[in-house]
Amino acid sequence: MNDLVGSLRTRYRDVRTSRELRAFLADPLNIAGLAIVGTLVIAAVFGPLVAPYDPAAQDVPNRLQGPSLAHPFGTDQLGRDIFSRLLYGARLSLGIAVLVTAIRLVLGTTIGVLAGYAGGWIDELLMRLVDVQLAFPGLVLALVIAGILGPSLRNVMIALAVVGWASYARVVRASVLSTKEREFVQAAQLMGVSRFRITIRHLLPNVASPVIVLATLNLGTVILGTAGLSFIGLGAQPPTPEWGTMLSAGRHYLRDAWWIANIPGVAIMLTVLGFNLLGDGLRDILDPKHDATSEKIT
Amino acid sequence: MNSTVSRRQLLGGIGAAAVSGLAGCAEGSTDEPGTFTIVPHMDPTGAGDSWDNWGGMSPYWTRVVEPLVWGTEDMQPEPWLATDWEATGDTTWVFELREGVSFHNGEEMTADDVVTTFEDDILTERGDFVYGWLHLEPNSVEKIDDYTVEFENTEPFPGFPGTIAHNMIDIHPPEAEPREGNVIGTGPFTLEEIDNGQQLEVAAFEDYWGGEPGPDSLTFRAAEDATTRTNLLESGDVDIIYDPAKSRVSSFRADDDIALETEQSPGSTYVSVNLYNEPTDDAALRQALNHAISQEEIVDSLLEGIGIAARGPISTVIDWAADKELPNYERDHDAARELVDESSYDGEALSCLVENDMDDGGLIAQRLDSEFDDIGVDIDVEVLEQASLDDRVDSGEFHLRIRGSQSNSPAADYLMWENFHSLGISNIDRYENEGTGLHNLGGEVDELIETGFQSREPDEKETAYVEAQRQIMEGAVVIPLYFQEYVVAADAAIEGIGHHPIDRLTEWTDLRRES
Repeated sequence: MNDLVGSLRTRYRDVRTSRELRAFLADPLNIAGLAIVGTLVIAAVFGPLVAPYDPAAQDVPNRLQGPSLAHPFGTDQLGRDIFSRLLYGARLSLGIAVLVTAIRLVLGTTIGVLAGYAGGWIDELLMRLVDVQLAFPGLVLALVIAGILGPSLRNVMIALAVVGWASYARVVRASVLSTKEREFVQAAQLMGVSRFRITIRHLLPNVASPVIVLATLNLGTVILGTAGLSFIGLGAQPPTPEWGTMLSAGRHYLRDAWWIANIPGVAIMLTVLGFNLLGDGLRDILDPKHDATSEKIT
Repeated sequence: MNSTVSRRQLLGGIGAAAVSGLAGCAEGSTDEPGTFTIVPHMDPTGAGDSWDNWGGMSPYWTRVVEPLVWGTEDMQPEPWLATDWEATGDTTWVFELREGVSFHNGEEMTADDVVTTFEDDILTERGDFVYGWLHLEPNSVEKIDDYTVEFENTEPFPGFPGTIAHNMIDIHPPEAEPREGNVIGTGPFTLEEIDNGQQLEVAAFEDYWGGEPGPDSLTFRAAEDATTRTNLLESGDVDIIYDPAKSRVSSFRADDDIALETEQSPGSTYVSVNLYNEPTDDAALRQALNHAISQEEIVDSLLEGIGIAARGPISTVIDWAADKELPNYERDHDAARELVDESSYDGEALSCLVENDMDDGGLIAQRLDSEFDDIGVDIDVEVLEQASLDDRVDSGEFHLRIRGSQSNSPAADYLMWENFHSLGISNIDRYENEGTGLHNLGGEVDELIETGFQSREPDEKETAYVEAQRQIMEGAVVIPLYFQEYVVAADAAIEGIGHHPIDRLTEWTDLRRES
C-alpha cells in the first residue's frame, strides 16, 4: 500500500513538473530571459578564455577605434579592447550579483523565519526593524553607506547587501505564518519534532518558491545598483573592467565614440532585462496564485 | 466608473508631458545684441562652497567686485582700484587709491572703505588661512588720507601687490554684506539676480570708473559637466563656454559657427611623490618613474592636444618658471628598469591617489599604471573624493598623488613655498611634528625658495627659483605631466572676449555680437 502511494506521489510530481516546464518554455519571453542569462553565465565562466586581449592592455595609438574585426566592440580612450573588458566585466558583475543576493537571501530568510515562527515580541521587534529598513530608498541608503566606507567594489557589495534583505524577510515571514498553521506542521509539533527540524524540513521548503523568484529579480537589481554606484565613482577603481565604470568613462565621448558608453550600457540593460524576464517566468510557474492579468492598468 | 487606459496610451501621455516639460524648461540665449550667456567650468553661483561664495555669487568671472590690483597678460601686477604702490620699508606698503571710483550704491570709494574691507572682513571673517596667504594680520591696515592706505606685512613680502590681485580680495563699502548676498562692488556689472545652483544675472553699471561696459547684461549659467556645457553651446542655448568636452574640441575646430581659443594658464598638473614613505623615499625609484612616461603622448593622445608637455612643476606662463633648464627625463623604459633594480623597491604596490572631480585624472592614472607596470612597478589607483583624499595626504599614507596646482593671482610665489618648502602648507605639519614632510627636500632648496620669496630683484628671484626647481627635479620630487591650458568656445558671431592667463580675471566689458 505504501509503495503504491509513493509511486502515485512521484508520478504526480513528475507530471506537475513537466507541465510547469512546458508552461515556462511556452512563453517566448521566458526563453528570451533564459537565453540572456545563459549567455551571461557562459560569458562569465568562459569569457577570460575566449577574450582576444588582456582587458588592461593599452594601445594608445589605436585609441577610440570603432567596431571592427580586430576589435568587435571598438577600443576605449586608452586603446583597450572593449569586447575583452566586457567579458571580464561579466564575471565581475555576475559574481557580485550572486554574492550580494546570497547574503541578502540568507539574512532576510533567517530573520523572516525567526519572526514568523517565533511570533510575539520577537516578531514585533524584527518586523519594525524591517519597516525601518524599508523606509529608506534602497539605492540612496547604499550610496550613503558606500560613501562612508569609501570607494571599492567590496564596499559596494557590503552597501548593497545591507540594504536589500528586508523584502526577503517580509516575504518569508508571510509564508511561514500561513505554513505553520497547516496540519502537517501541527502534527509534527504534536509528535515532538524539534523547532529546528520543523523549520528545515517543513517551513523552508514552503517558502522556497517566492524566495527564488525574488532572488532572480534581485540579481538584475544588484547588477544595476553596482553599475550605478560605480558610475558615480563609489565602486570599482580603475582599471577594473566593471560595466558601470566603463559606462562612466565613455560618457564624454557619446558623440564621437558612442561604443565606449553604449556597449556596456546595453550590456547592463540586457542583463537586467534577462533577469527580470526570467524572474517573471519563474513567478508564473512557481506561484500559481499570481495572476498576470492583475498587472493591467485600470 | 472604471475606465481602462492602455499601457501604450499611458506611455504616450508621459512622453508628451515630458516633451512639453522640456520645451518649457529650455531657455535659449536671447541673441539680443547686448546680452550674453556664459558658462564657466565652475558653478558661478558658488553653490556649496563657503570661502569663495559671496552670498550665492562667485567673485570669479562675474566682474561685480574688484580688488585694488589686477594682473596683466604677462602675469604682472596692474594698477586697478589702486593706481600706484610703493614699498616704504621691509614690511610696509603704501597704496594710492584711484579717485572717482563709485560703488554700485553710488558712494565713492575712499581709504576708509579699504581699511574696513580688510580689517572687518578679509582679516577677520574669512579664516586664518588669510594671514599666511597675504602675510597680514588684523590691525595692519591704516588710512593715511582719503586716497592713501598703508599695509604692514608680518614679514618681508615683495609679492604682496601681485598676491592681492585676486577676485577674493575685493573692496566693498561697510554696508555691504557679501556673505549675506548683499554684494556691493565697484565692478563694471551689478548683481541682479541669483538662482542658486542654476544661474546668476548681472547688468551693466553705467558709472563704472573704466567707462560704461559694452554688454547690457550677462547671464552666468552653472554646468560643471563638460559634456553638458558642450551641448548647451551646440544647441545655441548659451553663447560662451569654458572647457568644452575634450572629445568635441576637434569637431569645434572644424565648425565655422564656433570660435575656439586656447590659452595657457598659470597651472600645471603633476604627480607629487611622498618623499617620506617607503619606497618612494628612494630617489632612484622616483627617477625611474620619471623615465617611465611620455608627457607628449599624454598631452597629444589623452588630452586631445590641450596642454603643454611639462618638464617641471611651474607653468611657463610664470616669468621665473624653469623648463628648458631642468633635467629631461625622456621616456626610457630600459633606463627606468635599471633604476628600479638599483632602488629599494621590493614589488609592493604604490598607492596613487586621484581626486574624483579632477578632469582626466582617472584616465592619466590608468596610463601611468600601464607605464609603471612595464618597468616593474605596481600601483593601486584610488579615486577619492576631496575630504578622503585630504585625510590620506595629511596622514602621509600614500606614495603618489596626481594633482593640479594653479595660481589665481599674478604673484605665484606661493606655488613654490606651499608645495616645496618645509614650512609650506603641504609639509609644515609633518615637518614640525616629525621632522619630515611630504614634498620638501629641505636644506638648500628651502633656502633658495626663501631667497626667491623675499627678493625684490627679478633676476635674483628667478635665479633662486630656477635653481630650486632644478634641484627639485633632480631629486624627482614630482613627475611633471603638463602645463594647463583652458579652452573657450563661443558663438563665432561674438567678439571681444578678453582672454587672460587667469581665466577668472577675464573681462567682459568689450563683448559684442556681430550683426
